[in-house]
Amino acid sequence: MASSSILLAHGSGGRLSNALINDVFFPAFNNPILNQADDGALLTMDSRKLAFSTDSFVVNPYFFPGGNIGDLAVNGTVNDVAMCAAVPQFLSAAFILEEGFPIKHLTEIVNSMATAAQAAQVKIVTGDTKVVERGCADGIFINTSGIGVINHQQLIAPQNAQAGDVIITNGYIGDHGIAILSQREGLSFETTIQSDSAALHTLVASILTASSNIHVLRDPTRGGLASTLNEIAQASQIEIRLSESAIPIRNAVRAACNLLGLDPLIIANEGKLVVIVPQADSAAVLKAMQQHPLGTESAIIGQVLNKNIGQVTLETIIGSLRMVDMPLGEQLPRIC
Amino acid sequence: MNEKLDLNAFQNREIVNQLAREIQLISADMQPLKIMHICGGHENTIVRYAIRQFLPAHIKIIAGPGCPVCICPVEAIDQAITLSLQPQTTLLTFGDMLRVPATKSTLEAARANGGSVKIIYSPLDAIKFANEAPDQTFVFFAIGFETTAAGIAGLIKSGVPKNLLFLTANRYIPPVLKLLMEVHDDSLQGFLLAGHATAITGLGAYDFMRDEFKLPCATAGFEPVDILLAIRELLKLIKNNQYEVINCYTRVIKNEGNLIAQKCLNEVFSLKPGIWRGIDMVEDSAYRLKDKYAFLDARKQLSCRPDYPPQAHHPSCLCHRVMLGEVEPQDCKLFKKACTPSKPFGPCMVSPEGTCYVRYRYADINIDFS
Repeated sequence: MASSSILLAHGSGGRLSNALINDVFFPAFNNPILNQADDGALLTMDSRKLAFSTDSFVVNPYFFPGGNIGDLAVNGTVNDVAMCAAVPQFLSAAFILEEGFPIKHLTEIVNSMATAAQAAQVKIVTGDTKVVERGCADGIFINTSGIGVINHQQLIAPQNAQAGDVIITNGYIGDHGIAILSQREGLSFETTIQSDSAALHTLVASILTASSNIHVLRDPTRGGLASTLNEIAQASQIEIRLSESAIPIRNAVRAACNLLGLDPLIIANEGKLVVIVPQADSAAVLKAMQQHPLGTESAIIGQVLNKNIGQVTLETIIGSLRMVDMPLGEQLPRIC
Repeated sequence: MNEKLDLNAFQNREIVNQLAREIQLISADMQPLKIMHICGGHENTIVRYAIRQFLPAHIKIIAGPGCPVCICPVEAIDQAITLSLQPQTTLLTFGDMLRVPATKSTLEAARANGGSVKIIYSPLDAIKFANEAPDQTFVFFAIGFETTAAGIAGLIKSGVPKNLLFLTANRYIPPVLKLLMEVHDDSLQGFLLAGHATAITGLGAYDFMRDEFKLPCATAGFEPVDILLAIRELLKLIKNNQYEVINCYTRVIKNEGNLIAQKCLNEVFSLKPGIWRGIDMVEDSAYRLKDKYAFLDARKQLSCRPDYPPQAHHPSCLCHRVMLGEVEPQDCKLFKKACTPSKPFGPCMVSPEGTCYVRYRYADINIDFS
């Protein structure tokens, strides 16, 4: 390929577009369905319930400790499908590229996507590329859509949390957002905080095996735990009471939050989920999670009550009680 | 002060409960009383850990004007905006100031409209930016109290690039206590002093509270145990009619303060009358560059006067009364309705040290505690 950076012509559907697809995308995403090179991907699925999700990724910077925008785009949509308790199978990938974006960077990002897709056992079967003039996009934006099959009969939805349930998460909170912010603001800490970006579908599978009474499954991405749990509390019309001392947070993340004046509960995560289950099933679910590589630090972080309906409250480490509000005011743009 | 402290001890539940019991005991036969703190960081700790839940109902801790972003005069922000829109000029500011509503606009809006505004985390960043672009004029918008002022004084003394100027809006805290005593008449019984600012000035700067006003003051740190400890000690003094300035943050504060910082401050700055936003003029409280540093003073070297008169607050905004401790955020009609952190009417809703912001994010009102 002659050019080393994206030209407007790469997005116009002609010869250069084809060259880009053949030289960069196809070798990485290589599979028989994709290689048909049709407008859309024809998929064989039996008549099962399907989960379908889409997400766009505009993270800045697009390379960060622990990953890049590419694997984020794959894992993010895999996880959205996984949170529907579906087995993710196929992804689409659409790119918006800024004129001048180095193809070397694009190649690295696309290769990361291939690696992430392989690890998540999904195929990227269809895609699109657009190029905009210099200054009209910031480097690279990616949209991924994903489809998966639902293999169980459980009713898992944000409306299903019930008083007496228990809330479990699979590990350290706040890593991804702080990894991004520390790069953006030029902050450095003794340990580099890495994004926790990871595909959670096999963890979800373990959870579904451990209990047939899963009530809620969500991944706390933008807006963090505070946002996700507030949505659930509203949808289910219950109170979620968290225990501050039970929430796993790395010391480095805590320190970074203190420095930046941020609450760890509002920081984005990309490899974490919350699962809400009845008390009776919590031990089995917790054990199953702790035995999974992405859940070794799993912990029960709270319980569902029916006192302060629609609210999330926190018992602080010193035993007092306060609200955890929906984060409306924080400005953490382009975190994922 | 040199041992490796286990900071977890200052968040220890048993110690907190013990202090709460002692406070209950000491204050059981006391009249209702009000203690004021003058530090946004203290309000943040108090509300984040819901420390008021550990106090008996008749002991009130009131938030005073301790948020440097909130008390920054609107005139200074208007000047900063004006400077940012000038050619070949870049304004350097702490991130918190970006969204503070000024008379007509904000620094953030100025940036979106083509103004040159960069966020910095420390005065050293200012040097870096100025050196990287010698043809550009950089103005460091300096806000904060004694702690930041000391850092800036040190920087100026060690020499700065020719293209770096300063728009100073730093404020010195002790004089505002005199004004607060006037506003609150006899209804305040003690003060919690700002931990970091007092580390600079030392306790002596507050001797007038003992000599003139006969009111006890205690310095306090920023962990839950620090705050409760300082309250306990203040209550003992109040109960025994003793008025002293005591140090309850000895792991950071030396009684005489930081002598090197004091020397730097005296060499670089004089204290002049200065406006605290919404509070108006407070004598001897504005850090102004001395004449020998006039060449660094953006107000003297550049034209930064906006072409409109200043307006410190929106007619319905009660930030000025919140900052004085006269009203609570929930007494303001705008609080949590029209005025939120994403659409702030006044400065108190913008900064993590602003009383309205802190109460919005962590409010513990209307919770069923059982």
